[in-house]
Amino acid sequence: MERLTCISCGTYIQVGKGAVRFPCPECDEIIGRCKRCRELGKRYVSKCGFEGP
Amino acid sequence: MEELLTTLDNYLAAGTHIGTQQKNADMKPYIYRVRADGLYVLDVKKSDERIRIAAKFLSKYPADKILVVSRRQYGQKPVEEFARLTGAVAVTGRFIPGTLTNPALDSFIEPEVLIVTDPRGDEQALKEASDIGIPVVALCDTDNSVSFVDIVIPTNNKGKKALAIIYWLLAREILKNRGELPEDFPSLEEFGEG
Ligand SMILES: [Zn+2]
Ligand SMILES: [Zn+2]
Repeated sequence: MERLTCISCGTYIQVGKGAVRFPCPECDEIIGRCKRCRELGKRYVSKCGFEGP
Repeated sequence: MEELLTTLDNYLAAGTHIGTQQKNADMKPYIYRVRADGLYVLDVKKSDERIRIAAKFLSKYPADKILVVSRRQYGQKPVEEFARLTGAVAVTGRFIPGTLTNPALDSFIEPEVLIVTDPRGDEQALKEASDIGIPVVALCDTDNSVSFVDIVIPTNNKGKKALAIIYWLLAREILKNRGELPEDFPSLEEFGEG
């Protein structure tokens, strides 16, 4: 299994139950976000500088 | 300065920048100013930039794996027209619980990305997308929370004209990115009436 971490807090995640993975719109880097960071609307920054959400 | 996707006049006439009298802290980066009457106004340039980004993002997914929803009435026509033009799947009106999570339902579908017209009105779809772990693009007004949203498009998400221009631009940019923009792509007027 691939080990994916949350881009904002660094915890390991498994996709589903609130956690997601998706390609950065700008650079295609795979971004993981954990349930907690998504729920709180935490900011994330991709390698290319793209800032979400 | 980078050009906007459409004229500033088009944006202003559609009222995409007209927010609400409430501000959610999540939306602070996209708010331009507050009017004397307490209405929060969104930054048109940021809305434009985000449409571009969201279109780029959505172009990475197969057309029929994009689910677009609007429970509220004003979003229904633009959403259906957007889906027709881009090949996405539209669910308008009530979102039947289990649509994304219960394979026993006739309405069960397996999208890879979700677009919501209003995180509050489309709460059920947002929740189910979260349960199955697919990313969410959301049209967010000044009073919306960005909870469980992965890519925000800041805009008035309550006005008919605002929703028409946002979905029109989104459809056009996605088709452009795919290299599939047809010559007879509808004008904004045609789209709004569609
Ligand atoms: Zn996290
Ligand atoms: Zn990036």
